[in-house]
Amino acid sequence: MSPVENAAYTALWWAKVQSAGPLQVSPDTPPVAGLARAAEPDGASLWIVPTLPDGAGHAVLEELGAPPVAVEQPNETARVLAICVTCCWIERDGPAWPGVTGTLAQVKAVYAGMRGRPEQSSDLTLIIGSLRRLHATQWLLWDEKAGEVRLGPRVITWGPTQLAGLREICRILPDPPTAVLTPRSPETPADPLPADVSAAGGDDG
Amino acid sequence: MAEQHALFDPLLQDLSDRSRDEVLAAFSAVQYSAHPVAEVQLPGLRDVTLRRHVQKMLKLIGRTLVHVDGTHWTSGYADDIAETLTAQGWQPLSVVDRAVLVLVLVHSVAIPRSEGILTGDSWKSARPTTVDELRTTRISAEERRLALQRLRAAGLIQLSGDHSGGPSYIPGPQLQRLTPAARRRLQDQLILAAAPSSPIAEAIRARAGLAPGSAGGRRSTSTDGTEEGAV
Repeated sequence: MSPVENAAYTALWWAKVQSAGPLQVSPDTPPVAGLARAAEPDGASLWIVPTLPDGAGHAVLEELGAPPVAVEQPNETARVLAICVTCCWIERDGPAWPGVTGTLAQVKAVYAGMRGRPEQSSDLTLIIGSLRRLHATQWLLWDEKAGEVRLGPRVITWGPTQLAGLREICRILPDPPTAVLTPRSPETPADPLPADVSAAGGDDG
Repeated sequence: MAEQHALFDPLLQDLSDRSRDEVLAAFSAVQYSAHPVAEVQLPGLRDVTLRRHVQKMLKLIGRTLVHVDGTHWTSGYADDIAETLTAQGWQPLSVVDRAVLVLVLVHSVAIPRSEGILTGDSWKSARPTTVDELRTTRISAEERRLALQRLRAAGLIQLSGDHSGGPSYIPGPQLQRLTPAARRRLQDQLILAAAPSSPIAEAIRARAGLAPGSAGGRRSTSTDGTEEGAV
């Protein structure tokens, strides 16, 4: 690519991730300057996520008194994100991405523990609303049908300082119970397998 | 992340630490603040040389500075980038979201403008669109509720302060990110959709070199008038 073509290529990808959020693309997509790449654990795709130089970003807005577009129920949403970090980031010496799959049951249990009381049915509305908001902005990947959650590709932008803060939050929050994951459907195996896999799919949690 | 930034560092490396901080603060403010920011508030916008650096940073990522009311700045998609993405069929908003957004724009801006209540070409308006005005048989109540939630989260609409007749909506702050050319395209698309046989629609088609009866060139549906909505 000529420098001009390269600049246009970069600008178009940046415009796409700004208008739609981090994008899941094929691994053979050429790199784009300034867009970090987060590979899916199965290697079949990767996410491209915008990064900014030190000194740029939302932190500046607070100093200026110029708020970003408001998040609805910001406190509940932040709490649920912290809980999902606790459930999904278990190797806390390493990066947060890709982490492991957590479950709604875990999130509910930690939420109630954080509140210091038994689980309540009203918790679910707040939790699901927050999970949806965080999924829409790709901080989380929330599978509502399976009731399972993973950290979203945006977490790859967390640097050492942010991870240190999150480690401390995880230490304070109650430990989640063991995840019991929904058995994967054998309908679409990633690799061709013998036909007699229908009996598989037991307890993999 | 890494201290070096592959895209922006070549632009920033020749600046003094202070200028770099001012350029990055202005860049962040126009990119991430919900509302346009006052020029007087930021040296990176006030100083023409520094502002040129902000503009160069934005250009690298397909954006441009947008001047609002002569005293404020924000950023929006550069016209050439928006045109290329539109030609490629890029559309991050769903059809339902665009339809609901268009209804808010029609009731809050287009109708008051046609009545002479709103002047200028801004998409800012204090005229609320009520939930009743958003009712249509084509969109279920649940779909509408979810679309309103998504559009609010994106800053494309906002709740109006007038709650006398239940919740009502006005265009969100993101509409101020439209460039002058994008504002005109949006206006043209709404006219073509709302009054396709009017003389003014005819004039728009003539200007764009479109055949009579064509709703809007390569954009195939009326709701596509909001392609700049993803600002």
